[in-house]
Amino acid sequence: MKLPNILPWFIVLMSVLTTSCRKDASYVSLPEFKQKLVVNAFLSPDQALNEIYISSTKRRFGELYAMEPVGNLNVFLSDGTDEVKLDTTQNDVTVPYIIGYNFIVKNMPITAGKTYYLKVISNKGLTAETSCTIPVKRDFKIEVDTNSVKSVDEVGRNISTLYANLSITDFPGETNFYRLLYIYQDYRIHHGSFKSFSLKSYLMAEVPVTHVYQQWEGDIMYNDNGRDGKKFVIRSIEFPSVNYTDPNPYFITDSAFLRIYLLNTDKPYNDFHQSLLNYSLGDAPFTEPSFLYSNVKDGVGIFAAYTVDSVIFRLK
Amino acid sequence: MRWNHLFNNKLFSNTSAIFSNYSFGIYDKFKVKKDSADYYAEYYSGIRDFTLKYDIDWLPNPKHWIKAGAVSIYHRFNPHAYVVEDVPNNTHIKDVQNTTGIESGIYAEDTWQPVQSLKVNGGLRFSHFMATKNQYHFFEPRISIAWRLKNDIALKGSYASMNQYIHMLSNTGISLPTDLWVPTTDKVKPQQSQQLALGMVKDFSRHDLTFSIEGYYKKMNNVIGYKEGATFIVLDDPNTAASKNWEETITVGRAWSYGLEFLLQKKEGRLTGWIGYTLSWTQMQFDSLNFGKKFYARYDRRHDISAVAIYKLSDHITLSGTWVYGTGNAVTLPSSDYYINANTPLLGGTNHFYYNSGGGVGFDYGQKNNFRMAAYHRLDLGIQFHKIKKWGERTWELSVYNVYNRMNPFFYYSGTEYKNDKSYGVLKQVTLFPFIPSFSYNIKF
Repeated sequence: MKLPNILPWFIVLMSVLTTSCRKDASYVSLPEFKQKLVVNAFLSPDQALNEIYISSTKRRFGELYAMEPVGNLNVFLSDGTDEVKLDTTQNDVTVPYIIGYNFIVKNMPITAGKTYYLKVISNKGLTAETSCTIPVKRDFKIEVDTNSVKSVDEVGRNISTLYANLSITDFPGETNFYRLLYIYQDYRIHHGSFKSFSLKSYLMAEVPVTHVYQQWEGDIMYNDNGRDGKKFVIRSIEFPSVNYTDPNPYFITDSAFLRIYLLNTDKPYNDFHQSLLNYSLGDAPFTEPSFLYSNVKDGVGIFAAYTVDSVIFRLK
Repeated sequence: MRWNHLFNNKLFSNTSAIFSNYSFGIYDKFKVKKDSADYYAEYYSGIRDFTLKYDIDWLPNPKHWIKAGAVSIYHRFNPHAYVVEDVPNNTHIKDVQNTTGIESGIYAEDTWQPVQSLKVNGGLRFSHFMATKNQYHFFEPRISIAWRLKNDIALKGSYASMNQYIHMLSNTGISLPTDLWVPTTDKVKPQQSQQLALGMVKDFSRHDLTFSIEGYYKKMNNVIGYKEGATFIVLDDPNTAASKNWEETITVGRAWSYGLEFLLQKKEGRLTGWIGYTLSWTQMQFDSLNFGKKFYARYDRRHDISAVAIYKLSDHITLSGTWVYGTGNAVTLPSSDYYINANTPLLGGTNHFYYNSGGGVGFDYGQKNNFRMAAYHRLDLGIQFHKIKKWGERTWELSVYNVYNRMNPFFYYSGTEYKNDKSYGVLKQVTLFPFIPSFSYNIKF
């Protein structure tokens, strides 16, 4: 074979062989899918309805199914003395692509200071066991200090800005974990007796709730590390400034209230939500995957508890 | 630069001045118009070292060989840099975090041979590192003993205590491997290690072969790793990146490494080379990672084999071949996922609390670094043509890298494919260096 005949074939061969490529992973065993039950529950004596949500993990590789059936579930809740079998209500219609069941806690009072044991058994051979202890009710002395500062804004208007420091007194001799929710409510003259939550929308970024999973906030959990038994400010709020010399009639309020809810949580509640804060898929360079906290034996998920202290503070 | 000085036939010294520069970077570039620099972001990590070194060797008598010396290295680390030129938005950020440190050490050691069959090497090193404010200093003793039992069998053992002022930071995900070198600082302490090794060497003089086996155990403290969910770079958010300090993204733990090394060497004859095999384990433990449990390090390599053969076909032609094999890296890959709710107590009209169904997908990884990448192996072959010229020697070399075109994975990524109205979860790999032929021409004079 003459050189001119070889050359094109050589070039094609080299182009194919010397090109880096993307292809299906080979020579590896993908992680074996081991189905697990998922427990998702937060018990509280201050909750009108305590529910336990049971679902399943789903496979990541191979043919994917919209749901991994969990089979017939038997869910037992015990307080160490009595045990009840919980009934399911319905599939979780809010999440159509996941099969899961809500179990309503009935015939078992949820009491502060008690430990509860959960056992889930499926006829598919899946099991999950976990427990949580409801925190003891404490008086945390929730206090609010307000301060109104008058100033002139950049366009020359006389404005008043309200600041509020929310403080609590930690209960000594034990580790406490907290979560805070506050809601502003006002009654506007403009609307007669209409009860408005107008500022709530302004303050939504400040309200430590997680409406959307991807929007975990960086400071939703607190603890008493280094301040055992002490009074400390748990949150400072700066309210939107108002023009006090020429107010917009729409915003004139007759009265205003700050409704504060302090959640005293157990450690698993804290650890689970902290792991949510740091959650990352780790699929980008320089980014580490992170692990969701779980306290469920043979399964995944969270079974945690909290109590609620609340106070309504009149701002105006 | 190196300067050797011979004081007399028992005393000589080396003085060295060394400069080295290492840099690793990635960048993101986007141009709205041709020939414009509308957007440019760059990340890089580097070390620049200026080293001064002085070593002295003294042979007072045939039984002692004393070495001593001093070294000082000025490190200039750049573990994080971020530059943005965003002309349309009038953004110009240059965030370069340089850290400096001076690493110094003095040492003395003696190789003592009291009898023909016994050789003892004992030494002491004093090492010092000056970070911005804090200083670290340690004594590092070391000893090694070699005892020749017969003419063809020797036993050897060693112990060493070491401190390392430069840390390697490795990610554990399946994505692009990004090993970074970061310094000891006021917050980040030096990595400390102690190593114990025991071994045996046997000569098979009839076949020009030497066989050695060595077992080792190494314990390391102050090993660093990324915090879970940490990120070292935020290319898409210059404001966040500018304020990010790499020290906040790491956590400190411990590591253990142990194993056995086998080596068969042939140093004489037309065929020379070696076959080496290492069986090893490397584990790490961090209180804040993997729920405090031990896990295998990314570079935990259970089996490592290298075989090198050089065959002198004639005075002018040499054949060479290398085959390497290594167990795949341990990385973190989720085995399943699940839907999970955060607790979101809301005001439900009255004072009732309930949790809503806002949630998302969580991954079940099992353990950190639970997945083994495919084993790495390849064969390289070469042929060299030598010719002695009046001015020296020239060598033509024809070689082939990765002869059998093994698709070794560089990194993986996962995704979903749709076929016939069905969804499939797939794992993809990216390979960088397939079959690569090369020519080279060397001259030696």
